[in-house]
Amino acid sequence: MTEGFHPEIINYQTTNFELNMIFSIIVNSLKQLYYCVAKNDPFEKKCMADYPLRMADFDGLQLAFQRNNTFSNHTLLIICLRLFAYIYG
Amino acid sequence: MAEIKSKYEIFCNELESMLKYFEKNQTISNKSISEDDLVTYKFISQILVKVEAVRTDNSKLVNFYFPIAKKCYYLSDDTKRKFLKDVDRESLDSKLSGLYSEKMYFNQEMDFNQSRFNNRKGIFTIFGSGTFLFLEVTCFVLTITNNLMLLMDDESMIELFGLIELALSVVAIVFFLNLNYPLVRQLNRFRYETTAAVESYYNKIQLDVFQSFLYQKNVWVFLYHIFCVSAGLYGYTAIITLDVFSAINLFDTMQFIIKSVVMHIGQLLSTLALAGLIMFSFSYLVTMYFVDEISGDTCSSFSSCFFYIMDQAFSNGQGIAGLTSATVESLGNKYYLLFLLNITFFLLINTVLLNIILAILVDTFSALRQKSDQFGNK
Repeated sequence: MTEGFHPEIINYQTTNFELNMIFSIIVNSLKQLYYCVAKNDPFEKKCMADYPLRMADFDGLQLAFQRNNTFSNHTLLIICLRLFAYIYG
Repeated sequence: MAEIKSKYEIFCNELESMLKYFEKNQTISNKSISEDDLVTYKFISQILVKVEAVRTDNSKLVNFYFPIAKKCYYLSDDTKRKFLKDVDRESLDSKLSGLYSEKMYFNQEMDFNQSRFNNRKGIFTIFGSGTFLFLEVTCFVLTITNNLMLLMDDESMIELFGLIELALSVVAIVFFLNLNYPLVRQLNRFRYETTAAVESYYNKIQLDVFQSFLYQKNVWVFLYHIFCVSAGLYGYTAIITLDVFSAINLFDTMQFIIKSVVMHIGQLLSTLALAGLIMFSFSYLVTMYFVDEISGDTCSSFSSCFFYIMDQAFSNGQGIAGLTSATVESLGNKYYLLFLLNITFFLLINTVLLNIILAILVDTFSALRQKSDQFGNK
């Protein structure tokens, strides 16, 4: 059997692809939530890479979660948490 | 399914180890992971809680995930520390029941803190739980400075530093009254109402003034600073030296030493009382039969002899033998009675009772240290 068609390799690649896709959805959702809700950014730049999340933003994220009801109850955060729970399991 | 899950685990472990690497080196070594990923992972994993539950005896563990409630962030560090210190950790059941019995007080505190924080964001953003520690350390540094100046016989700056210390202590107490006191009073009243049957004026004063204010760690240490500095500046300068005892509040080991004395104070006092009684009867025997063998006129009466024996025989480690200069030649057969008295006193007081006191102190101290180490490890 050709190496690339081995079921375990396919399984591994599929899972890996799936994981990366799910995690990129989580990252992008959180970025959008943070910039739009916590930082009140109009979110008009061309791509998601223009909205980086740095370690310096971590405190801002935490504060937004603790004090901003819109942030903590937002659907984007709920999506993030549900998808993350799927990976985290 | 098990295989897929393990890959999820690898994925999370990869992010976790990279997060640790990033926090240490401020760089990312794996090109497939970005800083965005790390921030997201850190944030989400911190706000997501996993609870494992078994529904029936034969069923498998089921994971439940939910975000941490926002108000959980409003539980104060002091309360967490106090709970961790006091909760019974003998078994899982005792830990759970401890947490369960405290849950309504935690809820009360979190609700209260949340509403106060939202009303007075500015004050609480600036003055967090570290404010008191900062003020306490500053006051302690000023105390040490003042005492060093006393040591060097230079009293020129003592008044200035003393006044600064006084002002900082007053500020700390004002902060406490403004920021912490309302919560502490409310929690104490709440605890009292749920446990006590009778409500009286005296109990309210006891709760509001003593338990909620004077007995609080962040209050009495600053009141102590105020007392020592005021009395030192405007009364006796020597009282400033007593201010260094405030260090006890800052260092755990010093607190263990104090606790090891106070914790079994009843046993210690009983042992000392027994020692006192033995010395009383021995000093009577010495006054009656061997008063001439003690040099000088220190044993002119029974009371002076009693206090002399208490002072000398107890502290010099030699017993009554250290006070007398008798020999077989000088006393004859009476010497053997004195010898018996000496040896009995030495065995009872200097060997048995003093070692019992030492053993009580060392045992209590090591138990406290052991408990503290266990808590640190768990």
